[in-house]
Amino acid sequence: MMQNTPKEKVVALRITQQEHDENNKRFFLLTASQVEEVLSDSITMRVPFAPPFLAGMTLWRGHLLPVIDIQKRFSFSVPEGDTAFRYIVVRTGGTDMSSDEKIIRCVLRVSESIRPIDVPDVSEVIRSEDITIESSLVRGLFRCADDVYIVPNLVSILQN
Amino acid sequence: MEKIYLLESGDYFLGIDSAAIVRIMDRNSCRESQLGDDTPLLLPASFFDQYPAITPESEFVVIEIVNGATTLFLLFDRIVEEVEAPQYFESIPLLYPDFARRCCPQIMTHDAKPVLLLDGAGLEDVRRQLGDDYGSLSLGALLGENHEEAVVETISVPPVIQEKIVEPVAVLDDMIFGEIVSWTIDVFLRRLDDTKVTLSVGEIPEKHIEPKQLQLMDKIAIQKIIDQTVQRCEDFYDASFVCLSNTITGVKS
Repeated sequence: MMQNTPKEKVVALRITQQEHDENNKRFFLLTASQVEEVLSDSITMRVPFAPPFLAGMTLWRGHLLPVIDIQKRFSFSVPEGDTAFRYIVVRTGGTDMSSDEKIIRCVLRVSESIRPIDVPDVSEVIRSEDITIESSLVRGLFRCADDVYIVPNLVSILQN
Repeated sequence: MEKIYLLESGDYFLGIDSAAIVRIMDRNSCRESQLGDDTPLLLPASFFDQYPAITPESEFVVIEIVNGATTLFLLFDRIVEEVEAPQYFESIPLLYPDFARRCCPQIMTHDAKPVLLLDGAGLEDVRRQLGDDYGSLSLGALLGENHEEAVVETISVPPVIQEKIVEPVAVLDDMIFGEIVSWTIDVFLRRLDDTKVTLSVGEIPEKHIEPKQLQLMDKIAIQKIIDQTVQRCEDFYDASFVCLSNTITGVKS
């Protein structure tokens, strides 16, 4: 199925995979407005009994935020020794930019490869089963050329 | 809540209400205390990661806390400092597991870091639910009076192997040895028709060794005693063994 999408700036987070394939890259996509800050480091404190994808909690501008290893949350294998991370403060759920009332924030631990891109003009919608990921964790999945773009459902990730 | 003790246990940064603290002990004061070797300690980091307790490599502090009817001896790497309690605490988000919310229902911040406040009653509640397999250590094992070899073996073992280590913390004395051998011979005699008698530690009835006591023992050593006794029984299963069994029966009656 072919779909036209409006031009909008998005942030692509490269997924580092165990089986490295330059012709078949995967990215998480976030809208630029979702990204509040990119941090080179984060003082993350562990939380008891947390699953591996919940790296802990951190303090950001007075807010206690959960730190989520998004690759682990999607059960993507992380290459051994891959310790270069960035921390992205993301927001979701907010409808009113002037109020924090409905805004949910978290910190995503991601690979260092973060770049703003234009939403591809033409892309093919694919199903979550095609790349074996939990459908409840995604808002959309697209393929452009050989690359796969995953739009994570942050509300679902933070509430489940 | 007026003061909070900030503590480190492994990678965890924790806090305890100073009003809940009965005493704080280092290695020397543990030795001088009237506490028995079998006093159970809990290592928060091992408990939270669901690993068996590993004897600390360096110095430590043992903190006795009370929370209602609950008394706990917690083993930490170190006390970071004592600070004024903040006016506001936050609750641990629902995103985190129920066990985490029960052990550390409140969070405060200190020095731009989140601090999880331990709740003794919740901790004990979760400990009871999970059993003694995680994070438990006796004071005797910690001080290493009779367990120096075990301490050496457990230093710097990678986590994957740690899971398999069962620390012997109760002494296997002559009486228990006799109970194990006597039970093994009894079962062997009852299973004479079996081609091969195979027994395991888990089959030892409670009347011979109480489950709590058994849990604190080196099960590998007990299994060896059982296996060797079975082996001896098999070796001597002839006229002399019949004589031996008659003797045992005679002694028992």
